[in-house]
Amino acid sequence: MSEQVLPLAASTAHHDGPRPATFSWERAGIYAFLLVAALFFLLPIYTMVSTSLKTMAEVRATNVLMPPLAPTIEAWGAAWSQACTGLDCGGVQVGFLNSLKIVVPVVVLSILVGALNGYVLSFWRFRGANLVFTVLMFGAFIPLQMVLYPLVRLWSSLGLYGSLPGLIAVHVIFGLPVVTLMYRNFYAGLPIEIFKAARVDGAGFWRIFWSIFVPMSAPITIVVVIWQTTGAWNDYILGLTFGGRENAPMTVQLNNIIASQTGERQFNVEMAATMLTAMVPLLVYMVSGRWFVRGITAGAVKG
Amino acid sequence: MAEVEARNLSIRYGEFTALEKLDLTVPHGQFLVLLGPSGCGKSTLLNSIAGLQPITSGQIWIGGKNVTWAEPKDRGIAMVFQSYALYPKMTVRQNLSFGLKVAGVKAAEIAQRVQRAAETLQLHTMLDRRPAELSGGQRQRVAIGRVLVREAEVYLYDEPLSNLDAQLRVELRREIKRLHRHLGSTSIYVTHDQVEALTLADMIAVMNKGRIEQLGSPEEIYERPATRYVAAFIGSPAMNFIDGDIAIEAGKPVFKWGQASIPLDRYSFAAEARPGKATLGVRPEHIAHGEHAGGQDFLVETTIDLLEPMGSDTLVWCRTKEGQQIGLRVPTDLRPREGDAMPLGISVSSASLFDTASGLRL
Repeated sequence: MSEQVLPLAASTAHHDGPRPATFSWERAGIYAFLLVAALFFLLPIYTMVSTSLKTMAEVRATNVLMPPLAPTIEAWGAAWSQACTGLDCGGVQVGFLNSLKIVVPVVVLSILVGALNGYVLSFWRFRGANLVFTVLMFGAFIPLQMVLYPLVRLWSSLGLYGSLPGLIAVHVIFGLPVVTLMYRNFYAGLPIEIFKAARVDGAGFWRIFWSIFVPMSAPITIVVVIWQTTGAWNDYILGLTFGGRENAPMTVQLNNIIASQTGERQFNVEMAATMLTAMVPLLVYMVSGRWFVRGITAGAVKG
Repeated sequence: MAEVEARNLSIRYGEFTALEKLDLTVPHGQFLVLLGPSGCGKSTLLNSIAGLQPITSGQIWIGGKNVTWAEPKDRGIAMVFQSYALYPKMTVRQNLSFGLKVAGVKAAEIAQRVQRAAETLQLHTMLDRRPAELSGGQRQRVAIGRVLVREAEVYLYDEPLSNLDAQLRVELRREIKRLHRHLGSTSIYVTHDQVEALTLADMIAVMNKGRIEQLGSPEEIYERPATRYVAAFIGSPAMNFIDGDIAIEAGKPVFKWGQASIPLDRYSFAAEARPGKATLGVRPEHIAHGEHAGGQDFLVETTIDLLEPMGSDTLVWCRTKEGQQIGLRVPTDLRPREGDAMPLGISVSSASLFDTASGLRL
C-alpha cells in the first residue's frame, strides 16, 4: 500500500510522509475540558488520601488541601483493626471478611445460574421462552425498594432473614436478570451451527453446556465477575436489611464507624476506612477495565 | 442401506410456509443436491432430515426406519455446516473425537478413526491446533473430518463451500465428490450454486417456495428443464427467453415471433401441441453463429450490443431490430466487435418451450 502513488501526490511532490501536526482551537478546548474534568474527579480522592496520611494534630492544624508534611499510615492501621462502631472496636476488617463471604458466593452462583439461563434462552428455545425472557427483563427494572418489605416478610417466614445464605440469595436473585441478559446476548452472538453440530454429535443438554459453551464463555464471564463483584461489594441497602448484625458488609460497617460520634471526629481514620472499603472495586476496575471493555464487545467470537 | 425419504412433509412458522406437502426419495448411495435461491426451503428440508428442525406434519424415513421424532444422533447422519461450526476451544483432534467420545467409543478405536480421517483429508500435521489457527479451507476440512469419523450412513452438507474463496471451493468440491465415491453412502447437499449442483450431483432437486420444481439428473435438469423457473435458474449465462405464440399451420406447429414463424417439427412436445402463448428458451451455447448460422431451423439478424470477454471465450449480447436481447458464447479468437452484424441460427431440437402463463414445459 505504501508504494501506491496517488495522482495528487505526484503533482504536489513536496507532500511526503505523515501529515504534520496542526494546532486547532477545538482540540485545545477539548483537552482543557478533559483536564478540568479529571481534576474535578481526582479532588475528593486526593483529599481522602492526603487526610488519611496525616495525624489528627496535623488534620487540625492544616488546610484540607495541604499535602501531609510527615506522611504516616497510622490511621490506616487504626481503621483496619481498631476503629469503633459503638462498643465494638475491631476496625473494618470484620466488615471486610463479611463482604468477602458475601461477594465470593454471590459471584460464583450468579455465573452458574446466569450462564445456564442464557444458554437455555439462546439455544433450547422452549414454548414461551420469549415471555420468560421478557418477564426476567422486567425484573431488572423493578426498583429494589418496592420488593424490600415483602421479601423481608418472606425471608423471615422461611428462616432466612438475617442469615448469610439469605443475604447471598437476595443478591443472586436481584443480579440474575442482568447477568442472564449478558450471557444470553453473548450466546446469541455465537453461530447456532455450533450447537447443531454438537447435537448431531450426540451431546445432550449438560454435555453441550459444559464441554462446548462454558469454555467459550470466558470473555462474558469476566464482565459478569466485574459487574457482580463491584455491585455486591458496593451494596448497602441489601446488606443493611438482610444481613443482620453478624453479616453486616464492609459498607454498612463503614457507615456505622462514621456515624458513631463519640468524642473528637477521627477524620484521618474515617478517610482511611473509606479508602479501604473502596479498595476492592477500585482494584477490580484498574486490573480488569481493559478486559471489561473487551468482554462487552466480544459478542461476535469467530470460530 | 440408507435410503432417505421425506413423506408429505410440511413445515410452517406461524403464517409462513417453509415446506408444503413435500415428497422426496433419495435412493441409497445417491448424491442428491437441493438447489435453489435463499428462502426456498432447502436448508429447512436438510435440517428437518437431520432432526434439527421441528416439523409441522409428515414423516422422515432413513434406512427404512421412521425417524420423524428421533434425536439427531439416532438417525445415522453426519452433517457439515456452512460456518464450519467447529468447537473453538477444542483442538482439531478433540473436535474430531468429540462425537465418538459422547457415543462411548473406546479410546483406541477413536484414535484409529481420527488418524484415518486425518490422513484422508491431510490433516495429520495439524491435529493439535485450534480452529482459530487454521485457514478457512483447513477448517472446512476438519468439519468434513468430523463427519468422516462418525462413519454415518447419510451425509448432510449445508452449503459447506459458500464461505470459501473460489479456488478452494473448486478444490474441496472435488474432494467431496471423491469422498462420496469412496464411501458409497447417501449424501444430501444444499447449495445455491448451480455449478456445485451440476458437478456433484447424481440427482438435483430444484426448489422454489417450499416445493420441488424438478427432480432429475443434472443432464435432465439442464437439457430438459420442467419449468421456466428451473430453466432460468440453471445455466450461466442464463437461457435466452423469446416470447411468442404457438400456432398450427398446415397441420404443423410453428412458433410465431413477430413476422417470423419457426417450424417446430423437430421439437419433441411433452403433449400434443396446442395454439397459445408460449416462450421459447434457448441456451447460449445452442445458438449457432457465423457459417453455421444458416443450417439451423431459423435464422435471425442481430447486431452486437455488448461484449463480455471471459478469457477462453467471450459472451456476446446481441439485439434484434425489435429489441429482443440474445446472449451467446463465442470463442475469443473470433474477435467480435460491438456494432457488428451477427446472424444467429436457432435450432429447436435443443431448445425448450414453456407455456407463458403457467411456466410449464410444453
